[in-house]
Formats: sequence, structure tokens, C-alpha cells
Amino acid sequence: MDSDLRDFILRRVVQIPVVLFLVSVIVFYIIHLPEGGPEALLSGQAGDEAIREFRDRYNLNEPLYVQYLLWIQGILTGSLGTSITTNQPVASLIASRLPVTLMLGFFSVAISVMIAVPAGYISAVEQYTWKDHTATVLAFVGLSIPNFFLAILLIKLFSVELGWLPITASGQMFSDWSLTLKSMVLPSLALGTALAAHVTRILRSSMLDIYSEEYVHVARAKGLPEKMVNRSIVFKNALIPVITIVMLQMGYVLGATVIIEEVFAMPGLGRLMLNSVVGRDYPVMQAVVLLYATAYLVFNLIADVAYGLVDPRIKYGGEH
Amino acid sequence: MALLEVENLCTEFRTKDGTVTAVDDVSFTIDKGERIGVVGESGAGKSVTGLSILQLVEYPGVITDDSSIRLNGEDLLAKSEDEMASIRGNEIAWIPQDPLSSLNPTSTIGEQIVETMRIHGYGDDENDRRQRAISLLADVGIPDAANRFDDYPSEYSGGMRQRVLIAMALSCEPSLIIADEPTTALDVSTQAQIVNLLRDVTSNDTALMVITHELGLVAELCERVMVLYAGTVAEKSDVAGIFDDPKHPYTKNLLKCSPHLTMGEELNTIPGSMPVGSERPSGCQFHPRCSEAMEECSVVEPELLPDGDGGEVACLLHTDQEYNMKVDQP
Ligand SMILES: Nc1ncnc2c1ncn2[C@@H]1O[C@H](COP(=O)(O)OP(=O)(O)O)[C@@H](O)[C@H]1O
Ligand code: SF4
Ligand SMILES: [Mg+2]
Repeated sequence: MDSDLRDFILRRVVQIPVVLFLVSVIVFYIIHLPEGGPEALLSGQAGDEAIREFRDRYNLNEPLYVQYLLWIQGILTGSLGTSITTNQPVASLIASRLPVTLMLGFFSVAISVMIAVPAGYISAVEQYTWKDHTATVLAFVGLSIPNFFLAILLIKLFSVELGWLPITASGQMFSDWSLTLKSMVLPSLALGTALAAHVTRILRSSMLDIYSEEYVHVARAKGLPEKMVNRSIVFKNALIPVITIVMLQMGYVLGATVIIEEVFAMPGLGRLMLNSVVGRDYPVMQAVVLLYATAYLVFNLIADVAYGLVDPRIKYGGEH
Repeated sequence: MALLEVENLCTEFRTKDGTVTAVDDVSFTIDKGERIGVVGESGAGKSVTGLSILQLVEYPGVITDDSSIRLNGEDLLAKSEDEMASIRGNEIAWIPQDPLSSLNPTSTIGEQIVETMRIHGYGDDENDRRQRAISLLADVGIPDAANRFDDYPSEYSGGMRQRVLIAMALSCEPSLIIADEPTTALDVSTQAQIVNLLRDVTSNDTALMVITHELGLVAELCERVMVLYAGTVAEKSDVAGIFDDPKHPYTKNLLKCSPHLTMGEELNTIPGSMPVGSERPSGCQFHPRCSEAMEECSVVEPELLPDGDGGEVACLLHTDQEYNMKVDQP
């Protein structure tokens, strides 16, 4: 790795805490904004005594900035606090939910790449043939159907009608591995196809751009057969923007996992976040939102670095 | 037998707005080891002529059925696409105009040269090809070639990349190199170096077809010249003839417009502009701009005929009475 690249990564890594600080302030402020504060959760069932105890326990009597600093102090010392609804440490809640979301994300991206690379490639190489038109139509269908709707269609077809795949692994996630993997298929498909549609279009237009580059012409003029021109010149150079966009799409995948996990009743991070919002479990909510923001920033960083690693033209020395 | 024989080459672009004849009935030959210049203003059909030889004219360009292109007597237009691919870079190599955009940015300099040899089965093995690529790079003047073999194009200057493209063209020892404006994108001092390099590397049996709008480049590099105007041949001559006794009014104009023959200047200073697209004047294509035009020039299309000095010219001033007689009887 050359020193320019190292400097660039360092600069970007230093930016991350700054952005996270801003995100944490905003998240914290929004959560503590509503009338009644976090303890509104308790009212109804709890008496005054219980509410007072609750406020003490979560430092709700302190000024807002002190509460914020206590929260940050907790994060920096490795304690994310305790869930209000389950009384479990937030860190262990996240640890138990993370693998589900990671698996869902991984399988979705894997499926999208398996669909998008051949589809985008054929679309570009055989532009305006029936294959290209088919891929284009399917891609637009994939882009325009909402994830949750596709999820419901998939459930109806493969679980309810055909009975091939389970809707959910329910309580047996990670204890019954065969069931776990089977239960991943439909959610990954629901999420992966939309992503595939996107990547197909990007790969196609990226390849078509490369075809008009002079070096493609030169490759033909030196006798490279068209197949090799397509593969080793056009496809390879077209991957640069595709990789970047796939990485940027990871932010979209993160967001979409929330919905998909809910539809398929998967015990993932997205569902944890959703439940924490519904239950006003603000220690959990704060932590998960911050985690999503961190993940988003890391994916963006990877996108930028990957862009430079694949494309030797990118120089990291200059200002951006 | 000549190395390359082009006969009645017509290349048309069949666009929505009509057919554009980019190359209109062009014939010429190139002998083994000969250097020929193809000159004319931008849009004259020079590049399309070169690309037609390689059959790499871009869509919607077509070479018409009456055309004939033969290399060592073999009909290239009858070859399959695979057969043509095995000729490109191997027997006929191409040096492009803009070195900055002509190398694959994601592949190393060395690999791009080695790849050319690999696809044509040149050299015994990878190591052999690698050694040859390094010595070619050294030959074309890349300092420290062995160490710069694995560099990416972005690490080379424009002039060095043009040297790389020349090394790549030489790699399979082609019998003909077509260089399309090989110096246009370079600064003046680099231009001179590249001209010398092109002369050196074609001093053996390699023929060179230089496409240029600069007569100066032709003067320095070529033995023969073909002047194109609006897709047609205006004049063919040896280099001395072109400079000492140009026959075609267009050639004379070109000469006037490049006073510093060694530097080469923009030629777009001839009044008026060359017809492009599907709109073409009747008679001599040059007549709207020709200061010597006669009445019949707008009616009669001049044929390319021997000029008596060993060259050929397509101008009514240089032909016998026949034409005038044709005009006299409306
Ligand atoms: N892709 C194309 N589509 C339509 N016409 C074209 C195309 N490429 C070239 N032409 C036509 O061919 C003519 C000759 O082009 P070219 O050979 O590139 O000129 P030059 O002498 O500058 O190299 C142009 O004037 C243009 O009318
Ligand atoms: S034929 Fe007539 S118009 Fe054409 S170049 Fe000769 S003199 Fe000029
Ligand atoms: Mg040209």
C-alpha cells in the first residue's frame, strides 16, 4: 500500500468520530425531545414511586447535557446501558441480534451479485437484443416493487402455496442450522433482487460507457478477440463504479433489513431497533441507531478505498 | 506484388439522416517497407481509410461490396472476424492518435505489450515475451524499462505512452503499421522525438502509413503522399513532387497553410470548409473553395489520372480536352 493511500485512509478514519459525534447528539436530542420524556413509557401502569425510581435509575433528573455525557462516557467505557423493557445489557442484546442481520445482508448481496453480474454483462454486450430488453424490464420491475411487497409474494408462493421454504426459523435460529439457512432464503431473495436490479443497470451503463473509450478501440486494433475485449477490458474497467455503488448501496441494505426482518419475524438488529422505537426503549434505540450510522460510515470508507485499489488512476494525495 | 492493395474503397456511414460517404472510391498501394503519408483536413476520410483496412470502422460504417483490400494478395474483406483479429496487431498494427486515452488504465504497461504477443502466439513462453517487451520498451526510449514494466499507464507521461503504443505496435513484427496522427496530441519537442522514433523503427522492412493533417510530418517521414479531400483522392505523388511541384490546387493550398513544415500548423486556414455529411457539391468536390476553378468544375467530376511526373492528380486543369468537350455540349 503506498503512503498516499495510507494517508487518505487515515484522514477518512479521523473523520468518522466527528461524524459520529454529530449523529449521537442528534439521536440523543430527538429521543429526549418528546413531551413526558422517556419515562412516558411507564405512565399508566406505574405509580409515582416507580416513576421516581425509574428517573433516578436512568439519570433523567440530570440536565440533558449531563445525561448525554453520561451516555457517551458509558459508550467509551464499553457499557451501552441497560434495556428498559427487558432489563438486559444493551451490548449483549446487540451481540445476539447482529449475526442475523449480518447473514441477511451477506446473502442478499451475494444473491444480487450472482444475478446482476451476468444480467448486466449480457445486457451491455448484447445491447438492444431481446436479452437486454428482458433484463431491462425485469430490472425496472425489481426496482419498482417495494421490498415488503415482494417479501409477501415470496411467502405466499414458496411457503404457503408450495411449502418449500419456511417463513421464519422462529425460536430455532442458530440452534437448527438447516432451518436457519432455509429461513434465510426468502428474506435474502426479497432484499437481494431489488439490489440486483440496481446493480444490473449500473453494470450495464458502466460497461456501455467503457465501450466508447479509446483503449477499447486500441485493444481491438491489436487483435484482441471481441470476447476478451468484453471480459478483460470492458467488464474489468466497468467494475470500478459498480464496486463503489454496491458499497454505497450497503446503506440501503441496512435500512431495508429493518423491514425485511419485521416481515419475516427475524431476530435481527433491525427488528431490535423497531421494537425499541415502539417500546420507547431509548437506551437500545440510541445504541442501535449509532451502530447503523457507524456501519454506514464504514461502508462508505470501504467504497472509497476500494475505488482506489481497483483503479490505479485515483491519486489520494490531492484534496477532495 | 505490393504489400497492400486498396482498390475502389468506399466506406459509408448509413445514418438516420442519410448516407455519408466518408471514403469515396479510393485506391492506392503500399509496398513492403514503404512509408506513405495520407494527408488532408479534418474530416477528409483519413482515419476511416485506415480503419477500413483493419475493418474496425465503427457502427454504422460499412465498406461497400465493390471495395477490395488485399494484403500480400489475400483478400482481407473475405476474411472472417476471427481471421481479421489474428491479422490486427500481428500483420497490420495501429498507432492511435491520443496516447493519454489509448492504454487500458487498469492494466500494466508491460502486460499490455505482452498481451499483444500472447494473443498472436508470438514468442516461446511468457518469460520470452516479457524479455522482448522490456527490450522493446528500451528500444523506444523508455528509461529503466525493466523497472517501469509493471507501472500503470497513469505513471507515464503522454510522450512515454505514445512510445509504449509504438512498442506495442512493433511487438509482433507487423509488415504494416498504420499511425493515425501519431504526434498531434504531443508537445512540439516530443513530436520531433516521436517522428525520429517512427523513422528508426520502420527503417527495415516495416511499411508505415502515416495519417496526418500536417504536411511537415510527411516531409520528414514519408517517401510518398496521398492527398485526400472529402473522401476522394486529390493527388498522389512522391514527397519531392508534392513540395516542389504540387499539381492539385488543394495541395498548393495545404502547402501555403503550413509555412513551418517541421512544426506543422493547423491547416484550417483555407477559406471555406470541406463538405461533410451527405451534402456534397456536384463536379469537383473542391470547386466551391478553389481559386482556380473554371466553369466546368462545378459540373464535371475530375478523374484521378497520371500527371506526367509519375504521380496522379484529380483536377480538370491537369487533364486533356475530353472533359472540356463534354461540357461544351449541354
Ligand atoms: N461514426 C460516424 N458516423 C457518421 N459519420 C462518420 C462517422 N465517423 C466518421 N464519419 C464521417 O466520415 C468522415 C471522415 O472521417 P475521418 O476519417 O475520421 O476524418 P479524418 O480525415 O479527420 O480522419 C467525417 O467527415 C464524417 O462525415
Ligand atoms: S477541378 Fe477545378 S475546382 Fe477542382 S481543383 Fe481542379 S481547378 Fe479546382
Ligand atoms: Mg482522423
